[in-house]
Amino acid sequence: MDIVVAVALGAIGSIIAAELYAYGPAIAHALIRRAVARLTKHEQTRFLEEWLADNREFIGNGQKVLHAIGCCVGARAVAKVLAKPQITRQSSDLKEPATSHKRNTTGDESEISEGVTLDMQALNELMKAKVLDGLAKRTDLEVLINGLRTGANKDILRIIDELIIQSQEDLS
Amino acid sequence: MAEYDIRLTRPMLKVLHYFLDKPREKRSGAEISKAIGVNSGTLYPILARFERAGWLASEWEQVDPRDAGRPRRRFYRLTGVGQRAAHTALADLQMPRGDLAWTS
Repeated sequence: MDIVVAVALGAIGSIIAAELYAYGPAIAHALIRRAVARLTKHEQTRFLEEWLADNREFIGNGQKVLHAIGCCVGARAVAKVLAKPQITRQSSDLKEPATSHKRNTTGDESEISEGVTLDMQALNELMKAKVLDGLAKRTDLEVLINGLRTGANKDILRIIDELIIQSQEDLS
Repeated sequence: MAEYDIRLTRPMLKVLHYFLDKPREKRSGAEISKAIGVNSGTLYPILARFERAGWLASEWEQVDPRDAGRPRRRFYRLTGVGQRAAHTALADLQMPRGDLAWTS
């Protein structure tokens, strides 16, 4: 009798496992949809597309489901990270780093001279730190602006102007 | 020890180390996960944190999802700030690139 039950349970288990395996991609997609539901509406669109695309790169249904489970686990942490305000670089971040890079002038200028592509976000942060630093030290605003404008393009100039106006409003 | 905006964990260092190998290359989350063996549950929060700090920048794959018949991938690349931070982090921990204890 025990043998019959064991065989029956084994057969049922195999059928369930086979079904689950066959529905692997569908299960993975459902899990990813569930995971992105933990994010804000704005972020949901981005992460749904990103995670579904990544999921396709995994071979085998097992790996797809594991990746999707990971998305569920990580979604809460991602939401937490994105909920935090963006890190603002302080003037201390512009100090000489402990690397072999030789920096001749300021942080952003040396980046450009080294041929390293800086993204606008990072550049924005550096500029903001410089403006705030200058204002805190009561550096003459005109000197500061002229310094920042050296070698800057139109986008950077616009950011600088916006930041200066914002900083002046903050101080007043 | 240098100052960081982020408290670096071992998986974070693995990600930085991976990006430093070819700093200008763009990589998708799946690619990174498979290459360094960090699962998606750990990797995506790390990528989000680095992107938030300006160490990584991301952009969509240049394809039309309707034409391709699949969702676009999101590619990450190391920024100049990230490159400096990664160099400093690995140097401070005396982990020369290509010689990390846990990858050997």
